[in-house]
Amino acid sequence: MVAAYIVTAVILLAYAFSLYRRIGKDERGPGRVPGVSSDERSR
Amino acid sequence: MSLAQKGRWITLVGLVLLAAVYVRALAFTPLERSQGPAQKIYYLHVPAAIWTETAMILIGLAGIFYLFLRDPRLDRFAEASAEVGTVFATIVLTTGPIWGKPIWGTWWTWDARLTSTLLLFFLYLGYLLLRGAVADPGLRARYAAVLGICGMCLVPFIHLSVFLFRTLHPQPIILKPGKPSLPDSMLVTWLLSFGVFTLLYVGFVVQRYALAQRREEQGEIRA
Repeated sequence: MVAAYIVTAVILLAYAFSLYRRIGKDERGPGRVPGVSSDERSR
Repeated sequence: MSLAQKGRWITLVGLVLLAAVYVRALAFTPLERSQGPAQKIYYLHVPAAIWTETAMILIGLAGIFYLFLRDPRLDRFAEASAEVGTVFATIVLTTGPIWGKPIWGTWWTWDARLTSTLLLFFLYLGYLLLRGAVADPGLRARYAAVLGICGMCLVPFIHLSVFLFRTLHPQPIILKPGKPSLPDSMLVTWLLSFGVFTLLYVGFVVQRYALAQRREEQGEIRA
């Protein structure tokens, strides 16, 4: 029973996080280089 | 506040309330006499199942209206609802077997309700794959609308399958003619859980809709 509660929480949190990341990535725009922060890019 | 931010807040509230539902279901809701702790899966499985089916009905309705009105907002909503419906279907298909093992003695059986729910899950996957495979937005929306309408037609069959066939799956306890056959303490927990899943559905769909809208705008700028 506990497994079902854990699985549900993991699925919902994973999807919420995936949306958060995708929207965040989209807000930063297509010019972003993975692993390079905006500070480093501006330098 | 942007649409994505609104969706994010609704989701956050939903997730916090989900934690409260967990506490109530696990610590403050009585154990069912014959099934024991396994029955508590019901508080997650059924709300997720209702929203899996409702999401597909909404996709089908959006598809019908899209074919008449050609409004891209309807297509965007259907796309968002399909992704969230797939997430909820995954919850249904994982919590179901976890309940089935101690109660039926098996993780899975090919009975009408289980098989038709699996078919709905594959339909969701097919819908998302179709959307990814067609590049032209107009054509993609039309194909997706037709597939969504087909998916919507499957939903009443899934719900009625426990009446139409001899199945292992329990009969409906809440969505049935007459009063729900649950004691009040269990019913309150179930209603709270259903409310939370509704909030999560709305929060996820609003965020996914905002994402689709932004991508379309970026596509237009690039073109």
